[in-house]
Amino acid sequence: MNATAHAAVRAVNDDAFKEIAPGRIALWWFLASEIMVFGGFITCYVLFRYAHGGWEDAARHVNWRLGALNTLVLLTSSLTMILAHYSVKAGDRQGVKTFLGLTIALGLTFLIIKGVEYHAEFAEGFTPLSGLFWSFYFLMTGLHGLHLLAGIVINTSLLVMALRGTIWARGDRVELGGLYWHFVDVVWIFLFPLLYLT
Amino acid sequence: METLLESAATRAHYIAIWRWLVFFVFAALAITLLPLPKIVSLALVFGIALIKAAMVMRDYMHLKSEKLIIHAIALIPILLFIGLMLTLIPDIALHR
Repeated sequence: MNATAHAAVRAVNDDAFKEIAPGRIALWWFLASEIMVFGGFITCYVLFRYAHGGWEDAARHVNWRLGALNTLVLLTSSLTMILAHYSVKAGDRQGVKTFLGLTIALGLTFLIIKGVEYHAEFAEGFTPLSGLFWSFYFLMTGLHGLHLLAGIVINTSLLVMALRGTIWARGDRVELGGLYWHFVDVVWIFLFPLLYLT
Repeated sequence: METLLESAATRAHYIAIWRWLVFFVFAALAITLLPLPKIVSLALVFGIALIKAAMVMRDYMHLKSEKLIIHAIALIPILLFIGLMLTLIPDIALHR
């Protein structure tokens, strides 16, 4: 590549990344890899369900009411998370603590409801070994639950920083934590109809 | 810092998005209760899921104000995911 072409490429790259915090780019790369992880499972689920059929009987045993309730809980947690991020931008110290606390509480509520669901399913004799539907169900909801747990840990560390007053120097961390949290919400937006409504 | 007026408008926008998301949850549930052909019901339910995901990504993840490079990073795995599904259809879904 000659010097002129080299300079042109560098100019394009500089422009593309200008004003984007490195942490945000890194997090979006991470989320891109996560899309492939969940995308792979969703692809297998859809194709195997189409190929084999007869999963409706198994799917009828999942509790769609609790699934819908959990969807509302998670969507509400996305609202509180964005309001926490917005509170950082607006300099609202109490708002950051309140909304991060609410997001953590709603995340824990989701996991508790999911635990109640799992308990009822195990009590009925449905385990990951009960058939392909149940294998996919426990794999995808379990993996999603682990991601949510990681989000709760991240938000708890942000809340501790907010309580100590050290978050103002690194307010971008709330934005990054929020991006991750919203991604986990987006995954559930697809898991809910896939596992509960079809 | 934003003015009080801007601040109230931004919060109201986020809450309006949340209201739409909640509305779409109930809309999807209502569709499953209607006596529609299975294929129509599935198309509507997953269409609603796509709209909800787009709203979260656009407004809560701020994709609407991101630069092209972030859009590209998000789009590439989605295209790969669609490609993966199309590639595997003959081997899995059509192999009865």
